[in-house]
Amino acid sequence: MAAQGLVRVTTLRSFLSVASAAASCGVGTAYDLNPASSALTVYGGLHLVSCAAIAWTFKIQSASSSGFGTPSDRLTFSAQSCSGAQWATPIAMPAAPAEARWWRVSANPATTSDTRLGMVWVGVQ
Amino acid sequence: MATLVLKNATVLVDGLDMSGDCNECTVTYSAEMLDATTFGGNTRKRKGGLTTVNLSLKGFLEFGDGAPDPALFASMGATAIVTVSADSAPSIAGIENAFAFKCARASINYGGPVGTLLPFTATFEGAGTV
Repeated sequence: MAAQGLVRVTTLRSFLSVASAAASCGVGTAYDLNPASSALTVYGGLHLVSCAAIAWTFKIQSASSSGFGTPSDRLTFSAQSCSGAQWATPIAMPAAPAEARWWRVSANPATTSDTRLGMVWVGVQ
Repeated sequence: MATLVLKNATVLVDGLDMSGDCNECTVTYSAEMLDATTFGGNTRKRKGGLTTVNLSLKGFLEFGDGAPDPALFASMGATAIVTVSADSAPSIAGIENAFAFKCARASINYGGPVGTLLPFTATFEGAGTV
């Protein structure tokens, strides 16, 4: 599908409430996007809605199975400490889409005691 | 998937979570209809042209730090990344239930009838191919 102005996306991780923010460090739940073909583009977005001095780095990873035995970093966002949004540079779906069937977020703050509010999504079209 | 009661939509404009300020959110995704009608037919013939994306938000206005007003007012015309989701929870079974696009902040309208909670309407228009 040719690039358009709107992307249908899947929320990979939503940590918009104080209650969920504490769990935002580390890897998130894996989701089976089961891409139908390799003629697709992968988009990724990050919103941080809280601000602190500690920077966070988010990555969107994929793997062939839900266990993520061999995760591949597909989209990486710049380290960010303040509230704002990032739109990752789109990538082509891997040639063997089975290698990119499961997707998840990996969140790494510079200090593990920090919590942050935000959302990460991935879109494939 | 079953129909969804729209009560927990998520609205993110860059680093601003407007979910708790909005009570109406509409995404319009359309293609310009170009008139390709020629002689010899009885019916208009259309072809799809360029696509457009628009977002309209309505809600109750609040002033002060962290509220929508200062951020939207200060950045009128500037670009933003907007994500709207039909549900506040993370995706269920990887279902696409949200939309995202790059946009320009197009307008914000303040005010309403006497006796009502101070309303606002904010619109955003697509800023090109993502």
